[in-house]
Amino acid sequence: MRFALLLKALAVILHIASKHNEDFKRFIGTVSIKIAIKTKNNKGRTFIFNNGTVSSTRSLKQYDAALVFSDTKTGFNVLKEGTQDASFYAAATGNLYVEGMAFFIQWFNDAVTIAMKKNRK
Amino acid sequence: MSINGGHLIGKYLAKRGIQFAYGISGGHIEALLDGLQQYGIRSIDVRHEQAAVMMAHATAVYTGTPGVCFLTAGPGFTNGITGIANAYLDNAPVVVLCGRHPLRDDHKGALQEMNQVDVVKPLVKWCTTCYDTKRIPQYLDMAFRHATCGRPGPVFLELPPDVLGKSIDDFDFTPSVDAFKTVPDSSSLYKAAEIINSAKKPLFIGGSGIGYSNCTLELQAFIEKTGIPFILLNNGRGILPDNHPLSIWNIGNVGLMMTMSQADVIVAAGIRFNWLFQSGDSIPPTAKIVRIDIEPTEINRNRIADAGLLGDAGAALKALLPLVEQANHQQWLDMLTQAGYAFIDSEIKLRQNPTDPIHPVRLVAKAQEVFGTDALYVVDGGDTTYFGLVGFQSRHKAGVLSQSAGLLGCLGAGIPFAIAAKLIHPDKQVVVLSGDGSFGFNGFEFDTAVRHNIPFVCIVNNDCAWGMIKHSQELSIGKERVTCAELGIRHYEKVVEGMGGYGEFVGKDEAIAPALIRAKESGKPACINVLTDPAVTSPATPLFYQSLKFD
Repeated sequence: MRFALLLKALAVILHIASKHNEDFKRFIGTVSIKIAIKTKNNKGRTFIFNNGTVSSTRSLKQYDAALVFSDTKTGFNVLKEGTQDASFYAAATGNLYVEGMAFFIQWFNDAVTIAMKKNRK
Repeated sequence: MSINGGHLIGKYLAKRGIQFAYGISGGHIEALLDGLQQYGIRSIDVRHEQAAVMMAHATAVYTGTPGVCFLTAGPGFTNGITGIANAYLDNAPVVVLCGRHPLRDDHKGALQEMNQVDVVKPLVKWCTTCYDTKRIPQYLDMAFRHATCGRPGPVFLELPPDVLGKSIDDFDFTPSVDAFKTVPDSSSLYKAAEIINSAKKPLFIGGSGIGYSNCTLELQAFIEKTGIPFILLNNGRGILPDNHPLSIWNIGNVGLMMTMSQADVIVAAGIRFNWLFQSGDSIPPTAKIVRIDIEPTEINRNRIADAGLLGDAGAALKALLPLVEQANHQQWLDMLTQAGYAFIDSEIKLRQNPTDPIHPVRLVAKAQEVFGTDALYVVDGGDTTYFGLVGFQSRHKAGVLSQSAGLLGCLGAGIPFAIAAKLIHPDKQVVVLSGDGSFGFNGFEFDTAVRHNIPFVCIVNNDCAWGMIKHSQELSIGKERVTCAELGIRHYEKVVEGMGGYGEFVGKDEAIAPALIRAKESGKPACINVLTDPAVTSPATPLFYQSLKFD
């Protein structure tokens, strides 16, 4: 539940950033990409970047790349921590892997970082 | 006995042990061509001068000694410029010998009269015109000295036909060989050793400086004593094999970026923190940096080093060796490997499973399976470069090279590099992975390879587009506005067949390996044109796209 709520909150933050955060708007540009954050047993959310807009869905049927956690607890802890270290240790211990090209996930992480920075001001 | 200027050059190069010179004939350099022939230097006559410079560049990389090329005046010179610029940004020691209009006709509107020296000046370490036949050996000494001393690079020596063609009394001389190696000062060495000895999560990154230093023994001793996980990039690749137990090439570029973000100490030897390292931004501020470079201005460039070792990479590692402690970082390496595999899980699966259309990752995996780690691989293209650099492994020095991944991002060097690789290592299988776009630049060098009987296999990763540009445009201006990026299906293999080489077209996974084996067994310069998935984007494309994004 906490994992799902965190993802929903992230979706709201990204959506707001796409409307009001100039740095974020510049960063996402006209990119068209779908990134999923989910667990191995398919609980999660897909974030849809489409020509400057950001939306999300609980459907996990279509995405370009996915960050896959072993379970919701790990997913929640890693996302809450929000650091590269946390992701690294989860991956190194077999609790996280990437489906699709890792660079898309890096791009998504950068987008989240930019959205968070501006919203903290 | 008399000797003319062109023959004097041949005599000098033969005494220096130069085996090959690359170029295209021309009236202004006739005496030079005859001199090369007279003294047994094998002239490889190409179809475009940029390829000649690239072959000389490749010769320098594979042998560790300067490569030599010749350009005729005017357009021969201007055609060579791309190759010269590429060698300059790649710090490759190349000696460019260039014709020019006669001194006699200066300012008279002579054929191909132009100010070549001023044009080339910003692209070389040293350039000048030789006005005196007698002084040719002295000028060549200067050229080779400037090309190799300190940070290497290309040099340019202009030779007018009235200097090349003039006969003088023959004389004996010995070329000067400058083999000086600078060693860092001891206080910097102690500081560096202290940092390395305190590291918990170290990483060693070696670049072209490692390659030109030719320091296999020094590097091996250093790496195996310190136990530091390492990656060798650019022309340093293969100084230790890609499959060395401490190499992180098994997790590729993605693994490198991840490792850098976690490392507490990074030892960077002979590598520039350029755009591929986001000008130093991809290295965390908390990491301590030990920088080894032969060029003082690189030590603190884009990132202040905690310890800077100025000198030849091999000499610096040798001097460091007694100061560093025996260590074991296996646990750290295991973590890196596990995490790295988690991030490239999809790529690993793609290597193992057939797809329709063919995925470039799978194509590279099949080629690696056929040719193995004993081959020399050259990679050329945009997206193609990523797939090749990450997918190929070789156990030889410069075993996997790409100029398109270099600072000039120079597409088209693949086939020229392959030709030079085969000349230098006739006993090795040479394989080029070329994008279809890249193939267009120097594909005609297949004619050179056929005429000179230089067999190699070129695999065209044919996505019918300038893939990296196309996919970048899709990201930036939208799929519906993609422009000047589509190429269509073209039968490059038939072009090669038309020139006397071997060619096959492949569209299905199961046909890849048999076609590659037939190409290898043909004994001819061969082109296997493989239609791959046009929708595939490499991770390098978004990196490229982001690097050119402005407010």
